[in-house]
Amino acid sequence: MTAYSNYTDTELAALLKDGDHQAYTVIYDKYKFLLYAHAYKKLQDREDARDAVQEVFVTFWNKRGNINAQSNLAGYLYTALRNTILNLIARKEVRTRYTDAMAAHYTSDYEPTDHGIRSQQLAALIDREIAALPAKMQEVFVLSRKAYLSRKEISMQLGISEATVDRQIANALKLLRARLTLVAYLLVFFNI
Amino acid sequence: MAAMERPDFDELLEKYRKGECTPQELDFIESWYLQYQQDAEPLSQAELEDEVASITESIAQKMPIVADQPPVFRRLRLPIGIAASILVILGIGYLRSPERQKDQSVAQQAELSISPGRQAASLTLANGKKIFLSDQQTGKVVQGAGVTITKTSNGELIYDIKGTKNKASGFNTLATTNGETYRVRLPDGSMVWLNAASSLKYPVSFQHSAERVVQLSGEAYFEISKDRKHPFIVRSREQQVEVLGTHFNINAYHDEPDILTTLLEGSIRLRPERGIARILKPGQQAKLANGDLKILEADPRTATAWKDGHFRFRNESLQSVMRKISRWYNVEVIFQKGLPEDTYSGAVTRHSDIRQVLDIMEGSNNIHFTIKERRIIVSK
Repeated sequence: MTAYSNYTDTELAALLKDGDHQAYTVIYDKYKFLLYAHAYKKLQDREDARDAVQEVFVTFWNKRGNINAQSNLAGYLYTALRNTILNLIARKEVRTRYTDAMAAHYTSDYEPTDHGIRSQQLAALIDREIAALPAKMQEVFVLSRKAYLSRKEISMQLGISEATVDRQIANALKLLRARLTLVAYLLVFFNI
Repeated sequence: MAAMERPDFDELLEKYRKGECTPQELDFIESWYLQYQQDAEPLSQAELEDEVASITESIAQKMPIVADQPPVFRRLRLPIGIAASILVILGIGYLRSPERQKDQSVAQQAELSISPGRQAASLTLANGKKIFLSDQQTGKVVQGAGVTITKTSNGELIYDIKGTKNKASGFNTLATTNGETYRVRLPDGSMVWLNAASSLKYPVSFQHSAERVVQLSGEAYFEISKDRKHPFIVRSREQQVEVLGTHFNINAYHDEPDILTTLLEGSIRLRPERGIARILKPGQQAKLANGDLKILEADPRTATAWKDGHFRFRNESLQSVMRKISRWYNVEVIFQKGLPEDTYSGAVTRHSDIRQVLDIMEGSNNIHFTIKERRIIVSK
């Protein structure tokens, strides 16, 4: 267990934005099973699903500078994966299986919705899919929820807003990271 | 939001592909996507693990996933706060220690000369074992199930597959860091020159597959042995190149804006991740920039000069030239503001001290280089 895996998604996203490799690895390890399970469900093809998930993670690193740390990471990754999968589907030569399903969806239960409702639906879907993972692969999400709770507790006990807690954590992390860079350098020097 | 008219769904997907959907149409597609296949049977834990392991392997080829090699401070079992405090204290001790004075003078001496890259690389075997080839004596590097890997006296790596029913399987990865270059002869006889900060992943044996597939990150020059029945395929960032037997160079560094594929002999088919595959003729160069593929006439000598030990530039921007220098001399380059937007042409050996290379550039242009440790500062 590393210190990094105790970080919340917001903290990890902030570290990633600065090009932190370990933050990337922790995010990858956390979401890889969930995103693959989702991609496989939608595409029903192992190779396509692998390609889609791989593309999402590679782009995620390459565009790390543009990632908004305040937004939710799970939602961001799911949306990126959805767009990748839809593009993959739209580029297929034979796509009757998708157009048939669309026609069925249109006639049976399609109601236009606004953006807010759509993201609530997405959040609910993510929760359901986490719950459907094998128990071992759910653990990371349970852990980070605990971290989230403790942050809430901090905010209640200190009577400050969670945003303030977030900011203070971010500041502390920044300081710690600056020191750790020095430390890593020293470790190499002293061959500790 | 009003409901849309019943669309032609095939046309709808086409519009989606082109990014031409209206908000209503996007809403429909997203709503369809959310419920589509939601009740599908999930994969088992073992299947998920298998699939994800193979994604990890291919991502690790092009990405900085550090899981395999934790940095030093990650190995400490102390809570990170305590570890940091101890080390910050150590650090203060270090800053005040007399040895540091000595280190600084060593660093100052290092300023005087930054030597060029060398022939070195690391080889990661199928079982995860890593071998540093520069430290290796000439001779057998590895001998295992059906395969012998030898290092020749001129530093080339050679694969020898024994027997037809051999058990050689899995992948090897040959990787160079900044300032390293290496050459390998693959089991099918093809030669690959790997430039600095690059890696090549290939199967230990090609015997049991219809295609000879390798994965490149960075830059390499290929001389592929002819085998029409088993096309040779190079996968790299955003494209794949299919080959029947030929000589070509691929420059697919992640920090370069364009991916350049230059053909010297034979013919290759270049398949970008998006868009249509194109055939290249000798003397042509494919330039893939932001998914846009262009075929240009090019001077192959410029593209492959690195493998013969030269830098060769032709109307190249300062930034592009300096990226090459930084990879080979393992230096960081800092550009100051207001530099002239000249382009550079010319050739110089890669085997000299960095100062000689920079002097040549200074001599012909209104530009100045300052070397500070492993940093090159470019100013007017």
